[in-house]
Amino acid sequence: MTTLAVFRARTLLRGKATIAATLVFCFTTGLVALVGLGSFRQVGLGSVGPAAAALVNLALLLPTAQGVLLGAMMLTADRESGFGTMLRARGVSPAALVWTAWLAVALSSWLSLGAGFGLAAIVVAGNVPVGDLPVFVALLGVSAAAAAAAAAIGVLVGALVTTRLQAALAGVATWFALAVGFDLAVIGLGAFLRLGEIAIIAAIVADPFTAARVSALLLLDTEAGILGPTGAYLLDRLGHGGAVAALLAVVVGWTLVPLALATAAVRRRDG
Amino acid sequence: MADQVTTPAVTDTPAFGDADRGPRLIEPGLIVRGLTKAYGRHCVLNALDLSISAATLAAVVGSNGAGKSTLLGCIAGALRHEGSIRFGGSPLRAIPGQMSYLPQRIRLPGGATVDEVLALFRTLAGPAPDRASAPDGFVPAGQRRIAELSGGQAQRVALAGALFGAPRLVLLDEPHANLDDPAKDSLRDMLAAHRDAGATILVASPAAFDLLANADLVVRVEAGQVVYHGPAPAFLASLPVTIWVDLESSGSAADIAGIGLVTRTRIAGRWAALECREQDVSMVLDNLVDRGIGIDRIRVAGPGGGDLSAPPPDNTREALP
Repeated sequence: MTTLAVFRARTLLRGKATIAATLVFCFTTGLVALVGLGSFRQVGLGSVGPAAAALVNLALLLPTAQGVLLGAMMLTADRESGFGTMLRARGVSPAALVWTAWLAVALSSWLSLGAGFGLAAIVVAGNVPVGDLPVFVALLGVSAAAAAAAAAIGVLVGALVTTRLQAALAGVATWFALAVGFDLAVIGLGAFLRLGEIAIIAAIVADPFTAARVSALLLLDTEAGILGPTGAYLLDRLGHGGAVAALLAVVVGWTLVPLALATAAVRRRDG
Repeated sequence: MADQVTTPAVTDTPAFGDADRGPRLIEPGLIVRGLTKAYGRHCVLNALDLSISAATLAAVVGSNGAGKSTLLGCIAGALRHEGSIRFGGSPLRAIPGQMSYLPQRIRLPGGATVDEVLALFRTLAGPAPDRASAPDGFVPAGQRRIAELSGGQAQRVALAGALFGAPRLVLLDEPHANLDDPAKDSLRDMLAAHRDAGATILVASPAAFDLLANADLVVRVEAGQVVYHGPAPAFLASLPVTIWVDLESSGSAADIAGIGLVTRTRIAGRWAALECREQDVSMVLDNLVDRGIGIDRIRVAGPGGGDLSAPPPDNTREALP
């Protein structure tokens, strides 16, 4: 399994898709950091300024898109090319196929995150207090967890569809639904149907990207004022540390469950 | 064609070269019973039975869509199916180092290098030493990316990977695709080494002639059933021979009309293809010469040169008297 994981990671990391995604994320984070330098100087990373919010949103949008799309493509490419069946005949288990694909895609997303945050750190160095460094690292960790969940969801999509075209379309649709659509639906329907507490819980638990975004904002703003009723609810029920831990558990769940489902799907289908 | 339906289990047709010894008790190899595979309503394999002993190289032949690739895919565990597949007396499972499978139209990851692909499959083959090493020059330079290779070169890499180690069951689906003649010769030698060491080998190909010189057994699949299961020489003898006649000098197909013993005729450009049984070739040739067709206008393709819609293949020979 280690050999296959290394093989997949090496092949994916030097592929054009990873290089392009990393460059795009680096460029945008560098730009945000540069444009938001004034904001960082004023409020640092200890609270939610426009630049910090933009950085969080970027980190939760681009690498997650990379994870979902590459994850969806990887298993379907295995299937379409015959490479997966060749590996399975040699004794590679469905679980190993799925987990190595996920690890390679997650590494690809983490590479983008590392490069982008690294560039942002260089740009803002000297303009934010050194005491904000743990927050910066924690933001990177939350983004990495969200990217890992996105990779797992992508791998599940790839296990369920048949062709790479289907994988690309389903991947884009899934990412859009999780990154934007679900939030909008909950906000709209929650208010309209007066769902209250249920809508808040659903918005957080049913969408790993929202869970990651909320936990990132909680890390930036311990009072959670920017989160409005959601933040108030979470802090009231779980406290600051508990809320962050619960949100990260949601993200981890959104990583493990799709991988288990993908393994079952690969085991049960042709190719 | 003297087709025969497969006969099951304990005794089997002797391997090529063992013909004098008659039926023998065989070591349990691959035993397939009631193998059925359908895609929606389309049944590709229909309760197929098959027995192949250990240390046997079997050529799986049949027309396009006959079910050859599906058969190999089911045995390899790549396709869900009904029926039982046993190997060595136990239900077949993909155990590391025990089975190798080369799917049809394999495309290795383009971003990987030759060395990386070979290292991966070497590891997956387990600790057993390689029975047959690919000869020098069989695989391209190790640092080259798969995406940079030609179809034939990539196929060589995939074959080298598939034949690493000491698998007891080797399944190759159209391994000759894109290979040149030296590579085919190398593949033949590697397969012989695996067979001689006891491996059960199934090689599927619509053009059986790449295989038959080296095969012990021919399994012909048509419409999801085994319709022939027997020694390769007998299968070869049952196939028609194609006689190609160059029409250009006469400019007319009338010369070849109504020749007895010809089972099929087709005009392809300036060539006419006449198909007949092997034992009738000399009489058909005599008939052509009697009609004034010079021997220099006639070429004979061995059994299986029978793609009558195309010009004569390169492996035809002059019809010397």
